[in-house]
Order: sequence, then C-alpha cells, then structure tokens
Amino acid sequence: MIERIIIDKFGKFKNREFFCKPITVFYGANESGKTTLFDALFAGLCKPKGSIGAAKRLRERYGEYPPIEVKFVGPSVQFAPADFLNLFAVRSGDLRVEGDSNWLTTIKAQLFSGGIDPQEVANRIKYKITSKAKGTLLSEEIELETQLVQIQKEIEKLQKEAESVQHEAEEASRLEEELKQIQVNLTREREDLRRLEYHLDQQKKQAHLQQLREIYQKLDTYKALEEELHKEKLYTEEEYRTLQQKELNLRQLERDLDQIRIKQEEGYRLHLERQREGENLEKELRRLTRSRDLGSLLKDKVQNRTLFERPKITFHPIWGLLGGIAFLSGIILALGWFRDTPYLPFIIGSSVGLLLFGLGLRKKNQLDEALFQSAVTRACKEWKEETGENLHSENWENLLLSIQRREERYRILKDQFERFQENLSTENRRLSEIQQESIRLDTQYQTLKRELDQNLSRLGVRELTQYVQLLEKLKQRQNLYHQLSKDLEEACKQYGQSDFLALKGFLKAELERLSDQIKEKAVTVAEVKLLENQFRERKERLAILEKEEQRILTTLNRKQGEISVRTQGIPQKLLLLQKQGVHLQNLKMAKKQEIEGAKIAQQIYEEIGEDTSILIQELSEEISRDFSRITARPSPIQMSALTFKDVGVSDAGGEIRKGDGEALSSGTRDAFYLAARLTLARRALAGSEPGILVLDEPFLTLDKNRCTNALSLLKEFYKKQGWQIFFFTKEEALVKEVEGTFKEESQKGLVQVHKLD
Amino acid sequence: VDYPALEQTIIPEKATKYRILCFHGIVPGVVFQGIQEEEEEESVGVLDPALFTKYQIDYAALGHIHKSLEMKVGQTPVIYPGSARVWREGEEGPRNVYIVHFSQNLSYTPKMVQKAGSFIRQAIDVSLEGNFEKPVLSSNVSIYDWVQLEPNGVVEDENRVVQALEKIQKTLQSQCRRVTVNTKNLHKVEGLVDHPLAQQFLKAWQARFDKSEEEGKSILRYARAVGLQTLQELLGSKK
Repeated sequence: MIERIIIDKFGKFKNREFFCKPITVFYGANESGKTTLFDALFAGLCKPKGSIGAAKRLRERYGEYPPIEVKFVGPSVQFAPADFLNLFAVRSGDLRVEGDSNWLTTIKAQLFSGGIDPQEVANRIKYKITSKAKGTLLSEEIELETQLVQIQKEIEKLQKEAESVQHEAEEASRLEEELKQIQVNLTREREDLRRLEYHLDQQKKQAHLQQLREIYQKLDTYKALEEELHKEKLYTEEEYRTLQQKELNLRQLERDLDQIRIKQEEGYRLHLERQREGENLEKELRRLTRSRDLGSLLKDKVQNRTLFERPKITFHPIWGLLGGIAFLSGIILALGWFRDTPYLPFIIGSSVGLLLFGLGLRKKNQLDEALFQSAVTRACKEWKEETGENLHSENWENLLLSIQRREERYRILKDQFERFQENLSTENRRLSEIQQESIRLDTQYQTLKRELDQNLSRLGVRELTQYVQLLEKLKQRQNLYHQLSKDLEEACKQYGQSDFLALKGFLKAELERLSDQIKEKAVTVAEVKLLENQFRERKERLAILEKEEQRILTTLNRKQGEISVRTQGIPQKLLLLQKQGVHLQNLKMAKKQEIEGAKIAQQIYEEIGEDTSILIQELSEEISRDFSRITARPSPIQMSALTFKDVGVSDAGGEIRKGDGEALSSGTRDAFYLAARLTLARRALAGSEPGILVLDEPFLTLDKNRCTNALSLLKEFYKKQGWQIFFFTKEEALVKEVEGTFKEESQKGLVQVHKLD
Repeated sequence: VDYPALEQTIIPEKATKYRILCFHGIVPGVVFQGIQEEEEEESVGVLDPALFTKYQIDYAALGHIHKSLEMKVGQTPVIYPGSARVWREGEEGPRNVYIVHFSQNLSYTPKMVQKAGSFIRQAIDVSLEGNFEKPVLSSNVSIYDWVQLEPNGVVEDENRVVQALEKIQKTLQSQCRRVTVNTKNLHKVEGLVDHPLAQQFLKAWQARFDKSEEEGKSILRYARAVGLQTLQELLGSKK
C-alpha cells in the first residue's frame, strides 16, 4: 500500500508530500492539480523511460522533472505503464486496452487464463511428448522401450541358452546310450579275458613247473660237475702255460738248430769253394811270378840300347837353308849394289854360306836296328814260349807293353791272393764258431726235449696237443659249472633260498604243489603263443573300451555338470525377465496412453489459446455481472474484442446491439467502463498481492443511484480484493458519498481525503 | 513336490502309459496375474521345460498363477485351472476345474467354477473439485465377486473423495463378496480449482469426455491428469 507520495518540481507541485490510506480521495476544482497528481502517481508507480509513449508525453507536459518518490507500507508495487493506464487507472469516458503486441499477449493471458498462456501449457505438454530430455513422457517411454528391448534381448539370449542346453541334454542322452552299449561290451570282454587269463595262467604254471624242473636238473648237473672237476684239478691252466712255454721254447730251438745247420752247411760249402779258389789263385800267381821274372830278364837284355848302337854323320837342313840364303844374298848384293866391288859380297856371302853349312853337320851314335830287332825277336819268342801270349807285332814296344801288363796282373793277383788269404782265415774262424753254436743248441734241444717228454709222460699224454684238448674240455666243464652256479644263485635269490640245499628242498615242494594245481595239459609253445596273443589283443581291446568308457564318462560328467550349471536358474531368470517384460509392457502401454492423453491435453490448450471468443465471452459475462449491479438492471454484454467499439450491450428490451457501444448514454457507458475496469483489474492480478485502483472522475456522468451502486460495488471490491483505491474528483458530494460508503473504514482511519487548491 | 526337491529326486523310468505331473509352480512364459508385490511374498517354483521331455510327461497340472490357462510345452499339455476362488487383487477372468480323460488318448475338458467369483474393476471419474457420480454395479456382479472401486481423476482434495468412496463401499458390501478401493489413479493437484485456465481446460475436456466412446475414456483420463499437472507445474515455476 502506498503510504506517501513525495513530489517536487512537478507541474505546480513543489516539495509536496501526500499521505495515503487504503481509501484516498483527492478533490479540488479544475486546475487544482488533480491531473498533475494523477500523472505524478503514474510517474511514481510506472517510472516511464525512453523517448516515446507515456515518458514523452510527461516530458512534453512537465519538462524534465526529479523522480517522484512513492513510499509503501509492505511490499512495493510497480506497474508497467500499459498495465496502469489500461487496467488500474479508470478515467471518465475511456476504455482502451492497448499497448504493444507482447503486452497484449501477456495481458490476455492475465485476463483470460490467470496469467498462464494456454499455448505455453500446450508447448510444455508438447515438449513432454516430443523431447527426449529426462523426465518427459517421451524419455520415459523411450526408457521403457529400451528396458523392454533389453529384457527381450535377455529373454532371447536365455531362450537360446535353454535351447542350447536342451541340445546338450540330448547329446548327453546319446552319450549315455553309447556308454551303456560300451559297458555291455566291456562286461563281455572282461568275461572272455578272465577265461583266457585262466588258460594262460595254467600254461604259465606249466611253464613255471618246467622252469623249476630245469633248475632242479641244474642242481644235479652242478653236483656231478663239482665231483668231476675235483678229480681233474691237475689239469691247470698254469701247467698248460708252462708246458706250452716249453713247447714253444723247444720249437724255437728246433728252428734255431735248423738255421744254424743251414749256416754250417753253407759254411762248409763256401770253405770248399774257397779252397779251390785259393788253389787257383796260387797257381796263377806262380805262373805270373815266372812271367814277371822272365819279363825282367828280357827287359834287362833289350832295354840297354847302347849294346845295339853304331856311329853316324848327319846334316841339319836348317843350317843348310840358312847357308844357302847367305850365299844367295852375297850374289844378289854383288850384282846389285856392289857392282864396283862384286867379289866382296860374293866372298862374304860364300863364306857365311859355307860356315852355316859347316855348322849343320853332326856326328851321332845310331841304334843298329837289325841287331836290335834280332834281339827283340828272340826275346818275343822266349816270351811267347813262356806266356803263350801272341804279340800282334813282334817289336820292343809290344813286348814291353805285354811285360808291363803281366807285371800289373801279377801285382793285382798278389793283392787279391793276400786278401783272399785274410778272408779265408776269417771265414774259417766263423765256421768254427757256427760249429760250436750248433753243438750248444743241439745239447740244449736235447735237454729240453727230454724234459718235455718227461712232463707229458707225467701228465699221461703223449703230446701237448692232447693236453690242450683235455684242458679245453676241462675249461668247458668249468664254464658250465660256473654258469650253473650263477643260475642257481640267481634261483636262490629268486625263490628266497639261502643255499643250494635249501633251494633243492624248496623246488621239490614247489614241484609237488604246482603239479597239484595244474589242471590243464601243457600245450605247445605255438599254442601258448597264440593264447598270449589272444590275451594281449583282448586286453588291448578291453583297454581301448575302458578308455572309451572313461572318455565318454568324463565327457558325460562334464556335459551333465555343464548342463546342471547352465540350467541352474535359467527358468527362474526367464520367468523373472518375462515378468519384468510384462510389467514393462504394461507400463509402456500406460505410457503410450498417457502420451495419447497428453496429445489431447495439448490440443485442448492449443484450442483454448486460439479460440479467444470463448474467453472474451467469459469476460463479457463477468463484466456484465458488475455492470448490472451499477445499472441495477440485467444487462447482458457481448464483447468481440477488448475495445469499447466491439462491445454489444443489451438495450431496454434486452436485445444486444452489437458494435453499438458508442451509442450508449455517457452514464451507462461510464458504468460499463467501471465494471470493465474492475473485472480487468481483478483478472489481471488474480491470485497476486493486493493491487492499486486509481479512479479519475469515475462517476461524473452517473446519476445518484448508479453512483451509490458503483461505490457499493467498489466497497465490495475493496473488501474482497483488499486493493488500495484512489479517487480523483472535483465534486465534494462524491467525497461525502465515499466517506459514507466507507464509513467503517473512515472510522478506523483508513480513509484519507486531500483537498487540492 | 517343490522344485528344489524335484532336482534332487530320482524319478523312476516311466512304467505306465500316462504320466501326470502335478506341481505348484509354473513354466517360463507364464506370468503371475496378480499384483507383483503379492507374488513376491510366495516363492514360485519354475519348471525347466526340458524335464517334460526327459521324464515323458503326458499332462501337467500346474498352479500358482491363479488364472485359467491352457498351453503346450512341446507336445505336453500344460494346464492352469485357475484358483478355486479369487484370492488376490487383479485376479480377473473365470476359474475352471479340468476333467482329464484317460482312454486310448488323453483328453481334457474345462468346467467353470461359478462360485469361485471374479475380480471386477469399477472405474469412477472424479472432477477437479472431487465430485463423482455414485457407482452403480452391473447386474452381472454376483455375491461371489470381488469389486474394486478405482477413482480416476485429478483432485484438489483426495481425502474427500476417499471418504465419500468409503461410504459407498459400505453400501455395496451386501451385493458382493468383497469391495475394495484403489486410489492409484487419483492424482492430487493444488490451487487449480479457481484458476481460469484450469476451468477452461476442464470445460473443454468434459465436452470431449462426454462425447467419447468408452475405450477412449481412459486416454482422456490421462489427458485430464497431464493437462492439469502440467498447468500446475507451470504455475509453480512462475511463482
């Protein structure tokens, strides 16, 4: 509620303050400032701004003015200019609901829909239907659909799983059948195997019996051998080795003796040859000795040539040549150069020539060839007789050469003979040594042979080979003995017997026992082999079957386990999911219906928003109610818009004359304005805080009765709505009328009257 | 037997021509008819359909769902006769007993149990102010039936509606076995009674509702609820 209005420098008012009450009346004559105060109130409550509209009008009228201060008790109120002028301020003879399109839309919502634009509700519903935002119907439907799809998928998955498990169960059932068949086969095979096993056991016992018998036999053999070997203990390997060594030595001696004898014979043969060779050499040497002696003699006879020489003169040709040259030179010189004295060169040349000839003459002893040749021939004859050698030519040189050859041969032969003599002596010594060695070896051989013979004789054999044979036999028996001993020791171990005696006792008892157990005759080895093969084959077959049985059992157990695990909970889960599915389906159906319903609701709101005639009709009815109260007669009103031009009001006959508002009397028109303002103001602030109603000469054209009715209506409005009401009037009577109508309020000090000067 | 015991029971080989399974439980694919909360109180046995083949079942007499239903699992008929009496809320539909004939072939015929009664929903449209027409029971309703009054609408004061219905409930008790009230479709809104737009909306809605066929009315009920709730939301957001 406005408590004070403070005005300064606004129109005629300077520094004025007006206190206000719930009912405030400003009255005064014309030009007293009522309109200025109305404008001040408008300026204070609406604070118009800008350069157009109300702000412009106020500036044109009052110039630039300081702010109008309006003080409130309780919450302050501020109006939009259009709200104030169209809805809350009533001026005589004026009803125009106007403003910009936004204001009109808003105010229409205020007037007709309690401040809510039906289209806005429709849009909000549409948003719920079309938007996927959280919390909307569509999002909820989508969410339900998603959940449903998810559940359906899970159901399908589970159903597939159930089908798969069913398949597995069938497979398990087939395996069970297979297992049963295998188990039947197994039973049969086991029976066969037991039968075969019995046969084989009998044959094994037979074999064992045979084995025990053999061991028993071995024991006997062992005993016999032991006795034999005891007797033959003389025949030892050592003895054999000694004898063998002796035999070897004897053979070696024999070989040595043979060799030495060969050598000895060779020596003798060579010795004879040497003797003959020596004799020949000696004979030749004697002959050569005679030849040498003859040769020496002959040489002595012939070699001294002086015995055969004679004296002889000889000329040397050189000297003769030189003498000739000297002589010729004397002649040439005499004939040439020394013509004057030709004799001199001739004489000198002839003398020198003669001298040189003389110098060429020599006296010399010369061999008498004939004599010498005769001597040589004799000598050759003598030589030939002696040596028997024919000379090629009987001359001294050949003879001398032959003699020299003989001498040379003599010397060589002599050397040879001497060497021969030495060799012969050496060989003789060697031969003597061989003879001695031969004698030694022979003695040794004889001794050894005698000894060996004695030994063999002692052992009862004639020769070593016989001993060897005996020894070999002995060895075989010993081997057999050892083998038996080993086998028997093994048998002792095998049968847990301490010694052979115990073993024998055991064997005897065991043989008797086994003989009692064996029911079947022993079959041939081939038959046993066949039996064994059959047994092995059956056993292998059984093993395969058992393995197969095990495999199937394992698979079956695994499968059954898997089936059990996989089956576990499937029906329950499926049921749960199906339940959830049905529940969701129901919810979805409900949501669908809700969406359909929402579409209808949206449609209804849209229709309300679009069809203003219905709304204006409602408004008309409401205005009509107030109007009838002022005019004191029922006056239906029909409006087609929010302007007075479009208002139809009933006439005296009750007929509504459409579009004829202007034709009404001014009193009736003002009564309509007041009723319309009250309705519009009431509707505009429906459900809000109390508002302010400003009435500027509202009853000017009303008669007293209508004025009383109007004030009564305002009082009811005041009481019901609780609004603050301002009256602006120039009539004092109205002031009194107001005070009379609001008597209770006046007594409570709720009425304030300001007289303006 | 119950299901856990069945799992551990060794079922002998089938030695007779027919084998009948009696089981207080269900097979997957069948959903309890009543409200979910009640079903959860009782643990349900669910049979694996594979068991029908495994144990060569010829006829399965099942229960639990309190509803008469015939179905087949493989070749095996699975029969739910329905409970002998309406037991829980929501158990609509007739109840039967099944007469099974064992001859050359197995056959079965249902026989309705009249005295089992039925579950009947009675929808009541409530105005914003909480006004509604007094429900009149159909002539088909018998003394064996369970009638549930289901007020539907958007109201300022739901207690007023409930109180009014409770009075009516008492008057109807003599006409049937049981009368209950379910207010799940009664929505509360505040501050709309005098709102002009709400009034305009309800006026337009009523015009449509009056013209609508019965099947369209449930959608219109949703329209009323959504329309008023949205308006209330908008008013709330403007405040």
